[in-house]
Amino acid sequence: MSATRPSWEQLNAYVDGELSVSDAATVARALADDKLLAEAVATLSRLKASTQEGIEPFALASTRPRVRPWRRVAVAASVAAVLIVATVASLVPQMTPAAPPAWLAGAWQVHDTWAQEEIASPPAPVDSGVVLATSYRFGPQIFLPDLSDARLTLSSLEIVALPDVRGEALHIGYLGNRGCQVSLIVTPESGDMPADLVRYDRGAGRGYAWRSGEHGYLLLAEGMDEARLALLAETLHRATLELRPFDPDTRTALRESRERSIPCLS
Amino acid sequence: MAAQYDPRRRIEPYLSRLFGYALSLAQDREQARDLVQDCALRAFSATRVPEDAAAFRAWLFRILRNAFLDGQKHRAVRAAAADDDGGGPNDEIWRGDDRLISVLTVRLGMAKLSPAHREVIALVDIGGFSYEEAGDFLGVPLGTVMSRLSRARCALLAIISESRVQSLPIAAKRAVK
Repeated sequence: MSATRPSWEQLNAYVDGELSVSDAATVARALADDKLLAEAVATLSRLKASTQEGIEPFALASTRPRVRPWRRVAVAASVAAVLIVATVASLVPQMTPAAPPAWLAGAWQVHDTWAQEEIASPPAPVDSGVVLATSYRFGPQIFLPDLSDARLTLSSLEIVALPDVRGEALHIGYLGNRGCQVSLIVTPESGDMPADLVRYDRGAGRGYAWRSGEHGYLLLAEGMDEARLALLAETLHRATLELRPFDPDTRTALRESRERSIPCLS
Repeated sequence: MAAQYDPRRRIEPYLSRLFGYALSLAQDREQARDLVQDCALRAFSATRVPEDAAAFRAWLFRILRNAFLDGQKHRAVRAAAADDDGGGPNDEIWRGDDRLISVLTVRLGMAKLSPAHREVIALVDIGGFSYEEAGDFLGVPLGTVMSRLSRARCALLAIISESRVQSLPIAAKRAVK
């Protein structure tokens, strides 16, 4: 390697551990003397780490071979985990629907408008810049959940008018590939949003509302499998309180809930 | 005596990485899931299986890639790969805001990359391939992998960074009352 400043390619190779010992030492010396280079390496390292962190667990769905004795404990644990998740999920739908507050009609109007537009025109991928800039607008504590484990894809993100709340809210639209349309509406102030998770019914529509910190949250869907939506609500409620990504058990529960659920198109 | 081949046990450690790779190729979760299932079935029924761990991993990834290409237009993917290796010099150091880099923005940014750029990032960062292994896998020289990967990451960082500025100015971060 030449004694000149390391190239972008060489910095990539350095981060990937692909340089020879002597070349890596040369880059390391350059990093010590050049702050911009060091920042570039930090950026590359973060990019690589973020790519790797996005790797999702995967389990084969095909027929299993006969269960070996050493696997029985693991299988039993898995069954127990599923039962626990199912129990948690079954608790939420039993929640007594609350009387609808004034702002709920406006929220349903936002959901209905978006749902109709999504049917009329195919969704475009959400730009990451919109995600970030919108979250800046609402402050650093906003939670923009990735629901891909539940097979729901982020398809829409917009600032909407919600007159009966505080004027503006953030609407996040998720689409499933079996016809499900789920809205998550985040209000900039929690106001009179319920402190805990509360369910509101509108015909075949189900809404869940709660507050976390400064923000109010509303989860709305029409005709969606009740247990699946209830698990989503419970999961999001917990996640918005903890402001953390879903743990592996939760991600598994979301996937399994979707697999067990009735399609929204049925 | 040679150890008996237990396909499921050998494949399981690679399933998540295979799924990540499949997702980078297909950009569709259902299709990616099907690709991994298909890959596993083909591996289960194979009569000759590489013993070496690195060769076994490359073999699995190749089965998956072939399964994907079987359902795609080969020419489009290969033409895109060739296009990505062109362009000007690649000695500019990317500069941007690290705070924008996250699992979510990387995932969204990956969806906007060309197939060849997505694939080389997936092979190295998700699949864990060395440059040499990725070169063998893709049938290109090591230098091409190095160049393609660095361009791919540059493009990904640009997507993450530029889209933020162009789509909705940060000036809009006023408090909402």
